[in-house]
Amino acid sequence: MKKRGFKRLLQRLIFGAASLGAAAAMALSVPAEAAPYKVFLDLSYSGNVWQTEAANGIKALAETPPYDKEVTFKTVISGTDVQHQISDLQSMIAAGANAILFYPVSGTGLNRVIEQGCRRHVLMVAYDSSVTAPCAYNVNSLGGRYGANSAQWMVNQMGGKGELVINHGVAGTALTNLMDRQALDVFHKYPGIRIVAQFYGNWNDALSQEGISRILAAHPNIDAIWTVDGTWGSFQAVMQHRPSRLVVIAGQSNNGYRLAIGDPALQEKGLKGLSASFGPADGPYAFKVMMEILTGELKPTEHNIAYPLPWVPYDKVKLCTGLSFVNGCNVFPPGKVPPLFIDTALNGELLPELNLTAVENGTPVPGATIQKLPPVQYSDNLPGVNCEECKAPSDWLQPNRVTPIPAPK
Amino acid sequence: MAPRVTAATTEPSSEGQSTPPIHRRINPELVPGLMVLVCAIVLIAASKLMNPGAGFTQELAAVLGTSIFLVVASFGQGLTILLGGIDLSIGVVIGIAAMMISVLTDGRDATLPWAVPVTLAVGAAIGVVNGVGIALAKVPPFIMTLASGITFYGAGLGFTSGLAQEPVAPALERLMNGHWFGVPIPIFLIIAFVIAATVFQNGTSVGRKLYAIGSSPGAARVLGLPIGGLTVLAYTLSGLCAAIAGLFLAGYSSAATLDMGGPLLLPTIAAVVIGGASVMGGRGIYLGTFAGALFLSALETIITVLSLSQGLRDIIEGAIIVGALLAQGERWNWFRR
Repeated sequence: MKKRGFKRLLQRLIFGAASLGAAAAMALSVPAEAAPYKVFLDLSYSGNVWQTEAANGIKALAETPPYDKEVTFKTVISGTDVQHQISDLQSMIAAGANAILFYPVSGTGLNRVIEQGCRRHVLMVAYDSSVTAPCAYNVNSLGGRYGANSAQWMVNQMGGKGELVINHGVAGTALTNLMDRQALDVFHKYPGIRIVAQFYGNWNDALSQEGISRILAAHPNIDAIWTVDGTWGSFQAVMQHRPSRLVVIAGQSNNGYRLAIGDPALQEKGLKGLSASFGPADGPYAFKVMMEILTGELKPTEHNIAYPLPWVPYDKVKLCTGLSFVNGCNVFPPGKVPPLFIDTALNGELLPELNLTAVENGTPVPGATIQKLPPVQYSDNLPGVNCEECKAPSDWLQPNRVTPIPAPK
Repeated sequence: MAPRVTAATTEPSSEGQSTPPIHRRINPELVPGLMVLVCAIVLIAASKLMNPGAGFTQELAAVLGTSIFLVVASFGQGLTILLGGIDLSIGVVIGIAAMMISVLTDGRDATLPWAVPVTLAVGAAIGVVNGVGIALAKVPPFIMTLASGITFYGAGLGFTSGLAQEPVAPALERLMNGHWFGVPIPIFLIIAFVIAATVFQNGTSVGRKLYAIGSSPGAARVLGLPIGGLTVLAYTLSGLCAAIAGLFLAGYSSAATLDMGGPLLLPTIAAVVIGGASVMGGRGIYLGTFAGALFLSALETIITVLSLSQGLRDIIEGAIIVGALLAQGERWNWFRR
């Protein structure tokens, strides 16, 4: 009796698994008469602004001529679970993908399936986050050394001395560890910089605002706040508790924040802001890189490709009148986008095919055609982050954009 | 003020006897809350000692001001725990309410008179769905609220992509960031809320019936109490409180994201437990939960100011919750002897 029950259970499980497999295969199959290239986009989590803007930019490019005729494009959301992403990538490879652009949820956990894809001549490209599998391409802004450059910029603005608060990102993530290491290495070179408090704002604006509010109550004289994200929330806390004396601050590229740091009235109250950090436009840029490799236009000599780090200090903020970043403009007027809209979803030079509507809705810009990319730049090799058996440049902790000032005596 | 219907809280009258020692004159239900409150004050004072440059009132204002979301949301959580249940959809409702108020007001104060009731009604409606699933369909509370939270989050994500494209009404921002007579407005809101919540939970017949159901559902059924209706009511109030917290959070942050309520879910449960409520239901008062929320806010402040690592922070917060549960085992018996 028991044995029969077990057998029936087994049959059901096999039937269930087969049905699921068939459903997955059907879901991933693309029409046979379609364009020459089968391209997949594998997203991680899709519920935040950054990921949405990146995905919309990629979708808009895939529908922009001539890509609209060259690719059949399908998007899959894998969530934040490595196992789930492995399974999705396997299904895409099995479905005959020519190229897969993916947001990796693990730096090393996907290597086996990536190598599986490479063996079947699938072009594997990771964006924003990176993988260590040698055959994959990583396209991101790690080489921009945000940690070191933003810290050095702040030190220069502070004249090498003052009270500093560090708003770390998410504890235990590779990016937070890397950025922290670079930034702390710079700050520690200046004995006049006193780190009076540090906390993990989890790249979350509400948590960051609460954290800075608490710190301001205990340390009312802070001069500067270093962040990677949660910058808008950190700034809001200062505006709320100490509006007459603002701070030196570095961080993300939310539209509200860019408008604030570019505001002369706030600058007079001591606000000196830098808007940088990794931008969602890295996703569409990686898509273009992938397409150029796929079509043979681009033959990269290395696998770590740099997306230039967006870099807008307070004196370079310029208001846009239209929907695109043209003539060096880099922020939209208030009311056109919400304060948390991330401006680095657009890039007037490398991605002229995209505009605000495209990254908000994922639709192509009418009349736009894909422009060829300028020659690509390569990024730092960082062992364990974007390569396995490789050597980091000797100066990977040093700023490569901002010139350090001497430590004041 | 304290509930009198539960067996645990009913004490023999001391009339006609000699005056008992002071510790026996304190209602045992108040003891955990009082102790937690004392701990919170000690924490704030310790923080002041460590940073002599900071003003005590500023520290207090920071602790109180940032606790309002927890103070409001944990009242609803407390009601569901009072029934022996739990509401795991609170974080999602907070996010949905914050998003809704941004979308509906679109930066205009004139829309607030209808946008606020609509937002609160949606929060309450999610609570009704939870309550009906638990009371009528007999789905275990943690599964029902977890599932509804995931479902409504998915719906919110489908509609909004996770970010409100509209700014929050300026009046709401002023409410959360302004001052009356030099005191942050949220502190007045907290006082009003705590009075209303305490009166409801411990001063009304509905509140007493919730205690009765939580402490002995069987006895409540025999007494003919409307268990189903009261269960739906508790979850509805929980949804409503989460929606109020969402409104406040949107005003505080000046921008809304769908996931902004997530970090508040576990602290709502922690505040209730630390405040002396029984996770099995039937015991605990809102003043205890309020003290728990203040304590967590003070703890968060001191951890942030001390720049403790995230690992150590998690260890401390986890240990405090376990400690509160262990202390519950003792049931504060010393005060009953």
